[in-house]
Amino acid sequence: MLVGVVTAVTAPEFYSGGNLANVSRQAAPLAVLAIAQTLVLIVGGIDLSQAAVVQAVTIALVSWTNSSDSALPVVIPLVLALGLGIGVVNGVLSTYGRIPPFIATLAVGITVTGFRYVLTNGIASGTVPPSVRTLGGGRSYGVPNAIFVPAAIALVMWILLRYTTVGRRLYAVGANARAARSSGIQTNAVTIACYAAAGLLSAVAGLELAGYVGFADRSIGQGVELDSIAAAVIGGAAFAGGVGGVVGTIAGVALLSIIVNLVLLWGLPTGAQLVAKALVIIAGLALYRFLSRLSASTEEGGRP
Amino acid sequence: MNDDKLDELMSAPGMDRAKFIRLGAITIILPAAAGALGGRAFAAGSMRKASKPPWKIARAGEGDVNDWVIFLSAHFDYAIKHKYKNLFSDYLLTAANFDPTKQVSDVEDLLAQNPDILLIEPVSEGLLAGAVAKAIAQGVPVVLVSTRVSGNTWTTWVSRNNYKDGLLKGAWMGKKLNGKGNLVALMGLAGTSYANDVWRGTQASLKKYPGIKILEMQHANWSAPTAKKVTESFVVKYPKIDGILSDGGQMALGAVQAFQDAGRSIPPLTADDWNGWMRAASKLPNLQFYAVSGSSGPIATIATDLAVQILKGQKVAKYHEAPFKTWDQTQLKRWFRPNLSDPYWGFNELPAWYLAKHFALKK
Repeated sequence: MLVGVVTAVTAPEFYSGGNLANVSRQAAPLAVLAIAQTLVLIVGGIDLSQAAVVQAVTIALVSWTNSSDSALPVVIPLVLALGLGIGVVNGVLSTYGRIPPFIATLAVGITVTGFRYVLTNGIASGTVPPSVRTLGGGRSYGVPNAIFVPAAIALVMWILLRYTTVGRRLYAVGANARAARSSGIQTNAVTIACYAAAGLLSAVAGLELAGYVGFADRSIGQGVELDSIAAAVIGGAAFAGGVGGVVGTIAGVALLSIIVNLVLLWGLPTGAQLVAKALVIIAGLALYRFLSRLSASTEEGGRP
Repeated sequence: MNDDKLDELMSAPGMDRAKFIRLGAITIILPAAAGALGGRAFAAGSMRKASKPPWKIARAGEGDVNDWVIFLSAHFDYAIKHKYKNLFSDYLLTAANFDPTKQVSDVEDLLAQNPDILLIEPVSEGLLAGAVAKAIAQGVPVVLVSTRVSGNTWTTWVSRNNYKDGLLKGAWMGKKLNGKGNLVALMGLAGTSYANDVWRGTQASLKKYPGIKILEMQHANWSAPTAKKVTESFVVKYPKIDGILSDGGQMALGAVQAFQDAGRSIPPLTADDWNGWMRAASKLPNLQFYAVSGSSGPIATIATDLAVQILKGQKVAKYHEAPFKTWDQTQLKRWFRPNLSDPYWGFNELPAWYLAKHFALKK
């Protein structure tokens, strides 16, 4: 609400239809990535390979389709399988490999980037197929197409985490893996499944981002893994695991995306843009923690 | 290009005379001290004693992380392994991936292998000064590629005149709009001398047109996705944009897409000879644009030619300016190569067989 009021006063053009559509399209890939990151954070992990997956998917999409729609029925399952496979490798290394997730996913990301350079000689060319471009950049009845996929994913994940046994198992593994194992949960399988889902979602985000940008660019997705972590943590996830949720994460994505847009509407120079973004991340996180504590103390009978 | 040109470039804002003299003094003392400690002091810019080929050439590269450097590397590869294949026995190569600390280490590693000459694409003007001084002290001539380093210990420096690039772009836009209109600008990475020089030149030439208003300039880091995001905000904020000053084709591509997505007509804009941009421009028949070639090819070609001259004992000037070409949309067909990949740049000196081997568009 605070951001909304500040925005209305300082940059009224923010609320124009065109700008809201811009922010939605820009936020859509980050929303998918942040949901993926939330899943991994809940089980006590972290995924630093997201940018590599996004870049690999974009380059593979353009290279394998030759910018044509005709090959999409084959190529889309392939790039999704690529993301899924990378996620499985992340999960296996983090569980059976006993490698700390930070290192495992970082190493996998570097490896994926290395293979991409070797296979493409660092060279990417061409535009994305028209249908993918429509997915990331087009509109239906005035609504950006880019938001439909993240909205569907968010709904499914929200139901999964909140109302299913699977969701409860995720939180149990993240909160206390040993206790979860004792109660019969196959913690390694749950963790690997989370990483696999995160890899798959990263590939989906890659398709969304490719559709938004419109052509093969090796700089696409740079730094997205840090933005997705920031959004998830602002939304209540924690590096220690066991907490977090889709609603909070989407709020974190909205906050980050609005700020990136606002600093441009304000016309701030580059340095000030970065400082503003950092301050909002810190303020957003502090506010969330304060409200969480307030809510918890109220539930306990109003004790401080 | 001569040393007067170097003085002009060195006196650009950001390098005042006092600072220049201080840095110069430090970098003159450094190699002298190193020489006194046992190294072979090599007088920068002077003739080197000729040696017989084959030579060992080392290159401390930036890393092939973008299309500009990929094309630079291709030119070095062609020149060293093909054009001068009888003159060079070894090509030692490192990639800093734009990490200046790594590049300092890279230079040390290369110097340990006793090269006859060192090419450096400095990723930091300040941090690499010591590494360059060390090479000179070891008796290894240094050719700076594109970016300079603080001080003047290097043997020779090849770059393009980015200020002039900006002047040309601003002048074209001023004429195109008949001296009246609203502009937005997309420049490269904030804080780099390249981006600063282009922007200074652009502003300088637009001063002749008081009827032209620069609504806003933002740095979009030569990145199409960033340029698209920034231009989307321009489109929302400014109902009337008559021209876009873009320092390069990648940012021009992002800007064009933002206008297309918003359903607005694309105003005249500036770009370069990057094939990815020209591919997009070729599909927009009514687009009006002006290109100043940004290709890194001529820089690498001149740098390698200079390395050979230095090793042959010929005297070379302290600074060399790489040429560039300009054209507008009417000459697009002459420069665009639809059968080559996006990282190809129109202004280059690579032979057809090499381009076909390394830049052919995969089907």
